[in-house]
Amino acid sequence: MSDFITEADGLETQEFILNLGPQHPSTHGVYRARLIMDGETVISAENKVGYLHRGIEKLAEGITYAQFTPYTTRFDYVAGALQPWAWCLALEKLGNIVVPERAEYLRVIVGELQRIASHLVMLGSIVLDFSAITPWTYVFNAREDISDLLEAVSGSRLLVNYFVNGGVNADLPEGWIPKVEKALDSMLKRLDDFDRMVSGNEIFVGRTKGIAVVSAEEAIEYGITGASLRASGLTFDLRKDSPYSIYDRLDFEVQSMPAGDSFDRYYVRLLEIRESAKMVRQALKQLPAGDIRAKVAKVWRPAPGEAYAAIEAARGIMGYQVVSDGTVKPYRVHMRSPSFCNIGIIPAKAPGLTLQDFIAFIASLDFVLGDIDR
Amino acid sequence: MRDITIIAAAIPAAEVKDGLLVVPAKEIEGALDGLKRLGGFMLFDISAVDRPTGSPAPQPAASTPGAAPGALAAAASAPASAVPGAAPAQSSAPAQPCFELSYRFMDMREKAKDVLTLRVIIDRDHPVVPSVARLWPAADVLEREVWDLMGIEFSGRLKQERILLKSDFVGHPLRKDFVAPKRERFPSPSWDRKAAEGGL
Repeated sequence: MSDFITEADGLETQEFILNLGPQHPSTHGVYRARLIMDGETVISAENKVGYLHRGIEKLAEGITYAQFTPYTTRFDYVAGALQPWAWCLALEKLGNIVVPERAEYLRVIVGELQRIASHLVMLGSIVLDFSAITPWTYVFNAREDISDLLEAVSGSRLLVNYFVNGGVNADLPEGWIPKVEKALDSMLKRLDDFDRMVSGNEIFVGRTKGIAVVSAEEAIEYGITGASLRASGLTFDLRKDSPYSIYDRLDFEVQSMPAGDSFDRYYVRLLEIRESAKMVRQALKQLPAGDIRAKVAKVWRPAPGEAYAAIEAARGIMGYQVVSDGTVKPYRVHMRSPSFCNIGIIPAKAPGLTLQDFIAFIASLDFVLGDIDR
Repeated sequence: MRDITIIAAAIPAAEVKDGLLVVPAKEIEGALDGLKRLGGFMLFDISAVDRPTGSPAPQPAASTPGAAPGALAAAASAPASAVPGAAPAQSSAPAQPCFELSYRFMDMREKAKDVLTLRVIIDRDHPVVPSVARLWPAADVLEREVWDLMGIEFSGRLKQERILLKSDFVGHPLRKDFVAPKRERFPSPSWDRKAAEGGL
């Protein structure tokens, strides 16, 4: 092989197209990035989504309000319990329903537990994308306890259908509260182990610090919300800035990180888990007795009109627009899902990244395909 | 959020109706430019509602104390726009088939946040509005979604392609006159053969 090329001088390179996904573990679902590559470097990226589109907005027009509630858990299936909250808030605005105080507390407790579980999955999966398997087992061990708790209150572990129009489905089972305390203690211990193991790891830091930096201005321009926005130095959080439910009675800090790189998007979620654990403990302490559900007619006909409600879901602002024409079925349901807007930044930030950094970048945005495609 | 009447004063041809900022279709470009120039607004949602029988009078649902049961039953038995009693403010303009397009913003300058909705009523036969993707890049995916599912065209975009549905899909499913096919065509020879035999 005397003609084997030994020098790169004069060697012509050629750009090529790489389809990352839709069947690829590091895209966390059926997401496809159409990448134009020059060797290991990304020249341009294009989002291709819609593989999981189920036409749920259209489906909602053919069923009653109560029948649609379980569907809402199917969008962001990693944070199933939080999803119906925005829908129920919109319905409660539409029908002027006052949710009992105890139900509001139960919503916050279950919602924050679900947020912890969701962020734990993100922490585990971003590290898993660097081929580190052990940390994944740490966070899933902690998430397991939370799944058990959610199962005890709602009957399901993943698609937690606990919130209903006017309150919650069921009261807490006996002996649940001590279990929460125990689960939070062991979760926080696991999280500290995880933090010590990963956050200072040279390989992890090398591949996330200073990678895909999103400035605060860019984040606002691109409509990024949730923890990915707070990683760019902003403290925008609907729980604090536009408090719904009983968040104004809880004492908590909005966590944010200054740099806006992949590492900060990872670390801000770790901080948020600790904050959410604080919130659950406070809400449990303040939990009043009383009804868990307002009286809502079985065949519910809201007055013609429309309502919009937005909450801080695990991935950002989840919003519902509900339009009623006075019948038992909604006239139009529109949902604003956080992941759908958050991925808009990918084509802008991908050029210049190596493929490995690109994987870390999309993992740090923490999107869920059910939330994008709906 | 900054006071909505102050925002409306700074935007050409805008008026406040039931807590929404309403802009006529002709002025939408100037209004969005004006909002951008005010600064600090994050565009986070665009949605559209199809009204083939015309837009009903705006009724803020959040502040309507439980309507009388009689009115509810009347509204349930016929479309709201056809019942004179249920929609008294209807008479000001004849009902035209239209789309209600809503742009939703968060005010990032103020600590207290609320949703600012900019509402524009557009002609159902010529649903074209200028794109705002050059002002807010977030609009890129949102406009594609609205076009894909509702068929409202955004002019001035580099490309207008479907985002959630497949590229050869025909029609816009969230329109009220869309008739869903019984079975979706699955591109394979055996599917075509079965369809020809009438087996599907």
